[in-house]
Amino acid sequence: MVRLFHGSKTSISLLILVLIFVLLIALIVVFSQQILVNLANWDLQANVVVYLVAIGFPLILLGVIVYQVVRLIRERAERRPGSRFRTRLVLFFVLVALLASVPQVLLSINFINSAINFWLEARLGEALRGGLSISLDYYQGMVGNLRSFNASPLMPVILRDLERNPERLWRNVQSINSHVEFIQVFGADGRQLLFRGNPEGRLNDLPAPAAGAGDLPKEDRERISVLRNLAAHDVAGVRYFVVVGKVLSQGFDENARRLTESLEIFTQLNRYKQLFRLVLVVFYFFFSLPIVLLAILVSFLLTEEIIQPIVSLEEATRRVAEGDFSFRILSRSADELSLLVSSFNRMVGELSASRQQLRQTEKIAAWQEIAQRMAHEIKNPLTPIKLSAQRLLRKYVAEPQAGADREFGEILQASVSAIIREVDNLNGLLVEFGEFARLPGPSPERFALRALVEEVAAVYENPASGLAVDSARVPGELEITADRGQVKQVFANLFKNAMAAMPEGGQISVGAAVVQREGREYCRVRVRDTGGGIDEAIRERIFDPYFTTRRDGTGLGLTIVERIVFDHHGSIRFESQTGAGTTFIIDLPLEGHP
Amino acid sequence: MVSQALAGQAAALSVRSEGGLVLATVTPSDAPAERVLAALHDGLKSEIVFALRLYRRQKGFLAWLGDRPVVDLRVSRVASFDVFTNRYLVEQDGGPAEAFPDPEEFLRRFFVLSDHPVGAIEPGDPGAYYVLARARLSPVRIIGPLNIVSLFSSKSQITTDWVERALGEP
Repeated sequence: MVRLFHGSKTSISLLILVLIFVLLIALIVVFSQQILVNLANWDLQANVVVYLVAIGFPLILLGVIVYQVVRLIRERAERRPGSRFRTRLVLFFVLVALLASVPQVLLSINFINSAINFWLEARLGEALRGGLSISLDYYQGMVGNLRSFNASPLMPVILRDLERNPERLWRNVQSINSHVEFIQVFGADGRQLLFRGNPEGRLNDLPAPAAGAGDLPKEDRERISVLRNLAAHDVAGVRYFVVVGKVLSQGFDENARRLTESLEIFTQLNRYKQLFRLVLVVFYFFFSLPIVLLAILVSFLLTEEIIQPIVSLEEATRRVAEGDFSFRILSRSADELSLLVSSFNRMVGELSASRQQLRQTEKIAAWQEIAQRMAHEIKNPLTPIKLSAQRLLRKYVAEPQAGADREFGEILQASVSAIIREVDNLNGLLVEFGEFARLPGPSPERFALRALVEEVAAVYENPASGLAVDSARVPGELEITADRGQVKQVFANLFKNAMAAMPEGGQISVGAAVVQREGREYCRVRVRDTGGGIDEAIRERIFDPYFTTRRDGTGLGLTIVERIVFDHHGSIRFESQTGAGTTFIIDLPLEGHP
Repeated sequence: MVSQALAGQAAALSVRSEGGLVLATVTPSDAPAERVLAALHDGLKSEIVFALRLYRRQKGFLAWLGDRPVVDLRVSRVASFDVFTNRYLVEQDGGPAEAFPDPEEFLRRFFVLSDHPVGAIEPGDPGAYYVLARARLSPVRIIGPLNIVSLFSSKSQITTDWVERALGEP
């Protein structure tokens, strides 16, 4: 059984959360930089969307967190593996998130308060109002100056030079009031009679009578503003309309505009400061709360990610303790936990192999003991039987007349011969039993596998009987470290087995390749025959000692093969299909046993 | 002329067609003139935004899809008080400011959108067209980012209901 602990669902959830996080950050940036500035100009519907997003998004996150908390509580109640550890981890992560965010919140709110208080410092307002007042005084001074100058009794005197000496008129104006930058005189019929000074101040026509005398409206142009005052003067019975004025530079207007705008901002801030402070705090939480909630949600998923391999290991350990050595854990990551899982899998694999080997060794040892006792018990009576039979036979042959009946003599001769033959067979059997019982441990050496296979094949290959051995799929350069004699016996036994399975002839194919298994390199050997296959019913027993389907078989061939393979810390299995053949698959450590 | 009530929820709308051009006049009722004047004298600005939509009624099965919008426009006016010249200034859609020494004249100009061109209509069936209008007044135009308080302050903006008037309707 295989358990995959790094679930793809968790990774996808984490990925989605990261995407939401990035999206949230982008929204915050966009919202704060663009939308917020024009928020008041939005439609009500747009504001409704803002409210929905502002309330809905944290609510959804909160709902998911509540679900996770309920799930965790249920897991704790059910005493599921890892639930307590996970609770501690979640609390730890949440604590870390709060430790990071709480000071930030306090700092930000304090900063907002400080900033607002700084902006709204009373002296700043006084300075702005003072500046505006100075500007206003300057402006009113200019206007008043023009007004008083134009209304002064000197003006009719100055106007006397209008026709005689206009230049002197202008010089007089400048000498009396240097603030006047231009003068324009119209006749009663509206015709211009004189203009002197800054040409920017020139009027094309006499202002309409509706404008009346006095201060004319300030004329704002692209770069300048013009102040004018209009007054009527009678000189020698002739009525003149006199316009005096001053051109204000761009600097004055620009500075005045900035001043009024600054004062507007200051007044607004002052008026809405309490609400603004509250709104800023609300907006701060609007942006920061989802992030904190996201962090908590991420902590749930991260703990699942961390806890899962530990839970899997705990379960695997329990299963192994219960005797299930087939349990394995798969890991996709490449961290320390993955190394731990990998080591655990290797350990379980080796444990399983050791147990199997131990069981096999115990089984073989038991059979070896039986074989030894059998050999001992059978061999003891066999010798006297044989000797007696030989003696009978020798006597009869030496003195045939001793037998009264010729027919008896023939029977005696045949029977005693059969006794001797069978005793010889029994003796051969006992020799093989003895060999099995005394099978020595391997003496490893390095040798080329293909040469060995070909050596064994040369003995058993018999073109006359239609038996062929194909070892082409054993790489010539492949070398293994093992007991050469025992490996040779493995192939010999397997070939004998294959031959028995193919009485009419056939082909034995041998292949070999290097494979990786649980971090080690093995030489995987495949020996395939084209015989009738192994019956389903006896597949479980073919490696059992003394189990054979042949009349002349000892039932020790495959047992010896298995024993040798296990002695080399390898493994053997087979695949068989009735009517198609059998393949024995042997894995031998490439560099010998560790 | 202009009521001193705090909030008005209605607006009067009249529309007419002249040479294929639809002209609309919108007058918010119960506009809080005192609040506007007080704000201006405090050195603040006021803003009124008129929203105008011209629709053509759909006939037959197309009526099921709703009426077809022809024009959707906004007219924004910002009022301020020039302390240097003691005049009220009105800027429309960022254009040059108009100056008004008289507050009544200023309020009339500021609050009433008079014969404003909405859009052209196809000749033949002027009765198929109608105009929707509403006004949103900010007695104090709050600048950004301070304007976020408008989300939480119901008094900061006064918005009239949408008023509908068909062409040719008295």
